[in-house]
Amino acid sequence: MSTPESAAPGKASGPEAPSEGSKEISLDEFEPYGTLAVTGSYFVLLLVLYALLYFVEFATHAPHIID
Amino acid sequence: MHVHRFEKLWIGLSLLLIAGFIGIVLFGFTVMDLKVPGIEEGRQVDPTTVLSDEEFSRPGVRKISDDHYEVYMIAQQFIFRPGSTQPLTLPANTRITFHMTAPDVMHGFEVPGSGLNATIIPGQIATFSTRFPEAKSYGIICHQYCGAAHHNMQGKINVVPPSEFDESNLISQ
Ligand SMILES: [Cu+2]
Repeated sequence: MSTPESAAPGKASGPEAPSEGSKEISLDEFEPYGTLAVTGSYFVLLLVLYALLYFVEFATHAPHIID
Repeated sequence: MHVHRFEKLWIGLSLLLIAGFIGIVLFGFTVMDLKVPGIEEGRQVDPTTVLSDEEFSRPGVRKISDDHYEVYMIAQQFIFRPGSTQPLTLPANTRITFHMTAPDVMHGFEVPGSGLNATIIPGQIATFSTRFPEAKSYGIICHQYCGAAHHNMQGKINVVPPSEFDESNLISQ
């Protein structure tokens, strides 16, 4: 992922040359709640669809392999 | 190594998910006793001569007992025999064992909307048993690309109430 520093064109990149208005934060101060929300909702969707598979595969009155 | 707490969260959830999937598969094959299609162990056929083999030279439905019938079926480019030119008629609520092979290339056997699905490989006999719970008709499709008319390779199974099942079309043993 590109950081604001490396994305700024025409300026020296790298942590030793931060652009104006930026500040260094530690890893724990970085809080990507948007990414967490997207990942989390994907996870929930996956669980819901996986649960629905039960009804598709087993709760129907359809023949299945018994032996 | 320092790992961010969000990373820890989704690494943990991913591991739980994998453990869950493995657990569900184990549960399915032990507690629910699920079965998968198999091949007849130790029984190989020669695809070049299988059409004159005992059972496969006369494909169709045979009776084993009042509650058990078996179907010998040939899947070939681009029909199921029986199934395509004539529908395969079977009794409902009766144990049916399928034996299927192919003389040419690999084919698939799938009854859409059901759990019946097998791959038919030349030289091997794909087999499984099932029961059709209700009298209705089902389709069969080939789900394994087998040549230019693969998309037309389909068949039909007519399931009738056991009392209406016509035994005069059975293949004699
Ligand atoms: Cu085919």
